[in-house]
Amino acid sequence: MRKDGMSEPLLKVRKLVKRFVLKGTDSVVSAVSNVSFQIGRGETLGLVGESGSGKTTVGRCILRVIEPTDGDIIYNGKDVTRLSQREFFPYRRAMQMVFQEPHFSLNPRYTALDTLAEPLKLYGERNRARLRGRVLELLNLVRLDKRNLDVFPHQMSSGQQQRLSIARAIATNPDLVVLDEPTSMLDLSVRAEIIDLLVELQEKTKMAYLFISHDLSTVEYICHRVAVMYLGEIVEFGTVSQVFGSPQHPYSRALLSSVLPPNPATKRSSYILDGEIPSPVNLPHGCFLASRCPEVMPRCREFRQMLRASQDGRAVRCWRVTEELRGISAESRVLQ
Amino acid sequence: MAFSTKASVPAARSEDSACGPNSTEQATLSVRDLHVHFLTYAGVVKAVNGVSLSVRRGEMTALLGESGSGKSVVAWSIFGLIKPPGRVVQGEVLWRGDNVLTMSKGRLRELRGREISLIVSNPRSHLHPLTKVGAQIEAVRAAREGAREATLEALRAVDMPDPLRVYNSYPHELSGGMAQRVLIAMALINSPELVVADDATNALDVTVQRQVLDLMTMRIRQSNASALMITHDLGIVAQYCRRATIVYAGQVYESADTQRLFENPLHPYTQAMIATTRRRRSERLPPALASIAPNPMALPAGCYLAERCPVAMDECRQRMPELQEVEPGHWVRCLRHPGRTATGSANHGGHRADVVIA
Amino acid sequence: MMSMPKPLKYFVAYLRTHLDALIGLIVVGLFLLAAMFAQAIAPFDPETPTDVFRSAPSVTHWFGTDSSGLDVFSRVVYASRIDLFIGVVGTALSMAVGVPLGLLVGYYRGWPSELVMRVSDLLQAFPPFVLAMALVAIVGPQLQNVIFVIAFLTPPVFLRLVRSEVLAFRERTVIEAARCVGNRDYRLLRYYFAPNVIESALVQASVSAGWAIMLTAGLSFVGAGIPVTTPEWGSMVGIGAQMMMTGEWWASFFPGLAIAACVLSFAAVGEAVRILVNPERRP
Repeated sequence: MRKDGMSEPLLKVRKLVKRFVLKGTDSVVSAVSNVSFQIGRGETLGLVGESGSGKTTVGRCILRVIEPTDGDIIYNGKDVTRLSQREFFPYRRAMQMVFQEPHFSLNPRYTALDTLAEPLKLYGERNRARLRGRVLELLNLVRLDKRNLDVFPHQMSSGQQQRLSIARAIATNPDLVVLDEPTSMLDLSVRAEIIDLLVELQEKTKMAYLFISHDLSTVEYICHRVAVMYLGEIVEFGTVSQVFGSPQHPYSRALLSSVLPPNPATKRSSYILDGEIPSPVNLPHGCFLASRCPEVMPRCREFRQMLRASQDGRAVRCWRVTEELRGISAESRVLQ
Repeated sequence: MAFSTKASVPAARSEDSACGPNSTEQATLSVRDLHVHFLTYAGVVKAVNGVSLSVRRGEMTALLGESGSGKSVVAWSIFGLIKPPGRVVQGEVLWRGDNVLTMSKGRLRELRGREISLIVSNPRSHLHPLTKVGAQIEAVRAAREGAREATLEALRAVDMPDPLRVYNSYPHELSGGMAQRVLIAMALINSPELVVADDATNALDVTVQRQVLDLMTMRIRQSNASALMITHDLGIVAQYCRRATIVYAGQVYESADTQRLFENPLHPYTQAMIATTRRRRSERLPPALASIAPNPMALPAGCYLAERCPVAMDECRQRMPELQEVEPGHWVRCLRHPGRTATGSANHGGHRADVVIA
Repeated sequence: MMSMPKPLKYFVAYLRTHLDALIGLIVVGLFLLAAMFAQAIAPFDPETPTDVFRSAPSVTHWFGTDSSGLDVFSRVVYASRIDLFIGVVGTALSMAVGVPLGLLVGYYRGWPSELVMRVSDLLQAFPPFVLAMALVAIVGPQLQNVIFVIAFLTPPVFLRLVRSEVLAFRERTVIEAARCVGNRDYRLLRYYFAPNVIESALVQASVSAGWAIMLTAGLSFVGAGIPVTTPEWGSMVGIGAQMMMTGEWWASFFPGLAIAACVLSFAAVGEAVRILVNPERRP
């Protein structure tokens, strides 16, 4: 995407591809196809999509939990894609992750103290007093009472567990935190508190977030920019007010209309896609959405559209939208 | 989120009914002062502590609560499914006048899946993995003749794209949305009078969830059945349900017509929940949300929400408020809203069997 | 990394509500006491014959005497030393081999793991008792050899068990999270996999201990184990078997009862031990 004259972005992902081979068969699943984006310091980028969109895979590739099939991941100007796990180790200090199910991402045999001390120990801190001090500081940052030091995950509520996960992620003062559906398993009231905590932490430490979620209202609340993904591709990109305020891609529009307004006075929209998300194993050679799109044109089934940027920093991957835009603005650059 | 949409669907409303809140005659299902405890070796878990609610004929009622509020336990009680270590220690569940909790096995068999049916979430974990879907639906059907035809018809009715293929499929061959539709077909095939949907669309993708909800509510309404939607999603409550009952830690805290509830939420907990869904980025979170649930093995003496309530008074921590009707059809359990006292004996803790809130 | 007093509290609460575990613990305790204080408890020397032969249980000889005039009760008490020792030590050695191997085989893929599994399969393919007899015959019927034979035969059980737990556990998000934080193989195995799979290994151990005792008893019964004069339950059952013909049941019955009681109570205690090891079982 554009640089806008900013200094080198914190993270640049270029043409990321991830393909899986299904066990026992020859089928290849294209989980991620050609995804590119940038995140600047202190910024929150949202990745939105449903199952099969590849958003979770993108997060895991960036942190080298899964190895990308192709593409580049550039952190602070350095290409870290092909480093071995050992060479990548020092970078992990600066890039951390918070997972979806707090209970399952914590070691059931570790107390909170163990969980938080671990990243510190791994990066060199040995002094017990300093460890304890930093752990208490972290607990304080995430608003967990220090009585929780000797408590096991199963003794905490899911909200507390998630706070602990967050504390673990920020223990080494990372520059980037990837959050993979951090609130979907939480209750409404807890969700709001965790989101507020994340915003507060970002304000304090200027960390960047990659916020992966299917919960649109939360994404709208916390993100600056957002990318909408469908079957491994980005179909729309822009600031939150652009994409949520005036979505252009039919998938974005359908996604937003499927949210039920929590207000009986507001009528729910009926812009709905046909059918269900197709299997990512046999992707069509035209537009991936063609079989379900309410505005499909013949060309859509034949040719894949590129992601085209417009003047205001937005990008959309859609024939119909491009046609409409052509009437309005002469410029539309092909991005990939 | 404001953007121009295409055609809009009006929010669901059933026919206007003029019955008052205490009219049990109109209710097909009436839960009265239900208390359910679970006895574990570590202590007694008090899952439900005095829940009363009614579902009226042809109406969709929401039971709204977060996890741990006891809402699923209420659902199981409706079907008489509470078994040791769980025990119903008090209360009744009246279906057409009979108490489900004391029904004979034979009567329960007629009731379950036929007069009242259940739709759960996680469809693929609730279908037999080794039996074809068609056979499973047929097994649920009460009448024996014409089973295959009726099953195919039921699959068509839930907008299944290829009913015959689905009929011959195994559950793992279906997608999440399709499996959920199978559960809906199973729930509706005997034309029940009441459908209980326990977080039915929880496991589905957002767009599929929307499709399934629209479909499910439409079919229920078409068959004139009532529905109890158990959920934690305010959107579902607002868009599909006529009435809403809010539970927390096994107790009802507020109950009203949905429209009124959103226009004028009375309990601080309800207000906070609604405010959360509406806030903009710069707004701070209302502090009233009780995110740390009370320990069901050691419940406090006073109001369970007193810990985090911004407007809590000392009295709130000492005394459990009773459920009061503050305006017609709108009940609240809060010392800040005394309201008119309902009929019945004055008693501690609001546990009165004769109070029925509809 | 566990806080000490609290697990005990839950253990006690568990015992109160689970009679089988409580009885099991008491029985195991009694046997331990018998083993430790055999000299104080046993009225007679286990290897010195009295001059009363084949007498039924009486006030002097609680369990009667056998065909050599040895007091059965004293021998049963002394035998608990040997049998418990074999059971516990044999199983401990077995775990020391089987559990770490299971961790490695479950975690690492590739031909070494496959090789270990095939060897393990091979070992398990033989009827254990026959194999034990053959091994003891080769190395000689001594106490330590019996232990080694057990330590050699039982690891596959632990290996298989731990391996399957590791295979399941490695799919959990916590392992991804641990990797993200920066943990590498050794730490993962030691701090994540090991503490989380040890519980089932311990339960298995309680069953295996009972089985080890049975194996020892069986070997001695056919004369392939420990020398006959040394009191050991199995050999006692063997000796007493001849007396059964004439209706003199006590020389076989009591040692047999001891074996059964031991095996059952180990199993019952095994269940309860889970409370001690797994914090999740303590709400």
